[in-house]
Amino acid sequence: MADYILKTNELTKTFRQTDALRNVSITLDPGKIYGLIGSNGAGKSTLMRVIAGLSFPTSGSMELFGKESARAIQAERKRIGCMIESPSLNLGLSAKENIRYHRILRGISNVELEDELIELVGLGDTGKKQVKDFSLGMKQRLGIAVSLINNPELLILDEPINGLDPLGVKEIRILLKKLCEERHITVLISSHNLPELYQVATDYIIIHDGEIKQTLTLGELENKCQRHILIECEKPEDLLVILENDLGTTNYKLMPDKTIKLYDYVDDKKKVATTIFENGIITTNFSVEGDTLENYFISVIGGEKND
Amino acid sequence: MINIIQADLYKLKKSKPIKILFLIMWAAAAIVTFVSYLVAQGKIGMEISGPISGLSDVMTIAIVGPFLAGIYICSDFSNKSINDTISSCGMGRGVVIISKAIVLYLLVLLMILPYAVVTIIAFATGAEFSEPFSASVFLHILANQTDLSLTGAVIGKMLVIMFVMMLAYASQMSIGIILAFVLRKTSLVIFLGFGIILVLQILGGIGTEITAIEKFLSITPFSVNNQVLAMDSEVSDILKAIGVCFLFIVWMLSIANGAFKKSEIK
Repeated sequence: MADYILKTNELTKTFRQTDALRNVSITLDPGKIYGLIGSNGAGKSTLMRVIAGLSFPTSGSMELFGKESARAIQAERKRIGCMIESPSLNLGLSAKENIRYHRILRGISNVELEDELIELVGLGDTGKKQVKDFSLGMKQRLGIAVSLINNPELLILDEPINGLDPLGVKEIRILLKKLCEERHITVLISSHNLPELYQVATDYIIIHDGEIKQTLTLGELENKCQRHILIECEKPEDLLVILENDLGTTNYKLMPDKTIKLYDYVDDKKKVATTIFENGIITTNFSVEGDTLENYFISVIGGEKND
Repeated sequence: MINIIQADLYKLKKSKPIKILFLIMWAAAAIVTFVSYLVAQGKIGMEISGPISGLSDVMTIAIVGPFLAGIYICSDFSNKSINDTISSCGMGRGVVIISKAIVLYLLVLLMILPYAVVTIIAFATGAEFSEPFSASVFLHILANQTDLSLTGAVIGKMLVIMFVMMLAYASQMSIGIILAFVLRKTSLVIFLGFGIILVLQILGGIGTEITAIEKFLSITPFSVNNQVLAMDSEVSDILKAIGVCFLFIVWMLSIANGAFKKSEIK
């Protein structure tokens, strides 16, 4: 039995001779929240749509819950919850009637689930109000409730916090974390709100022009985003001794490429530079690195070096 | 499949347009039959048939069928119900087509039901009816069977014939299913569906005069021989009509499946 929920192998999707996805290979492990980051037209929705069976890859393959054949994958999709681009809602029905429609569609007999889900997404007081009279945020919440009806093991959410007010965003964040922790649901979520994504995701997939540019964990991302002084010199081992003895810090990392990342003194570079110079160390690089998720994302899709 | 059908029936039960349409069909059936009665009694002239023929079953179903396909199937594309069925219910596209078709056929049968019920009631009165509109297969039964008495066998045969005629109407609406799964735009499905079905209905009528057209349409429910049955129709004619209707449904749904199975769903 595979220890991953989803694995794509070299997925390519071509629309009119343009690659919407190019050799996309990702693996989603159980119980993690994957933030799918990409600019408009990067291929986020296309990837989600291929996984959901709404679009077909031009080449490449996919494994879902350990199944590889198209027919078996389609059957396994009942273990997925989706909200791609916009929620699946009947505008002429109320919130509860929508939940009921989708419950019947999935062959679930548990009627109590309807109230539970409505309460879970904070729409318990909407009564008979038709969905067409809902705000965008309310529709998003209801869409999330619909995607949870079948108690999915993989939840695919495309821009789920679009239109939500700050309180709504926070509630959805808490809900997703709770689902991930308590039910061990794997979540693949895309959002343009990178600070919000930063607070909810455990792993990140950066996609640009249909290509996966980088996959990294939250820890790796924090490491990359944490501001530091990057020092490249001829004798890094000597420099480490100087940092400890002269500057009194051990808050640094010696990287495999022999560069040093110093996390202290970021706002007092002059002191560090003076100390290095006074000890006769010749530096070949001395720069402040690391930034916000936005800047890191921009640097990745811009092709800048981010080791 | 049964889940999709149940869920859609639940949704349609709540649909106001469907309820309004059903009431309109009752009114149309009653008006057409009443006018037929008045013409037969000589109380009004045959010239009334022009404006009223728009309410006859052939005309109303040609409009209502594509309308139902449009608002029922196309709206499920726009509100992403079909997306959800495929992405989160584990159901294949073929199953989606068959389920939607079954529900659409049930809707079409429901919409024709007023004509059948009114016909039976009118027949039971024993009154004389005329056939001022050629575009009504139900009036055709009424207007030509004044010599039959109200017995169980007669009612039974009438029900069978009506069922076959309703089946013919439902199978004709398979064209709307193809259009709905290919075009996915309500207005286009209604417009094109009405046009295609009306043209085929007219060709069906012309087929009684031109053998080549009848030969071509004989494998479809648009042939008069497969659609317009009477109380004196032979069992073989009835069975042939049923067979043609089912084959036409299979044929049309296969085309819809071929077009839909590898298409993108937005």
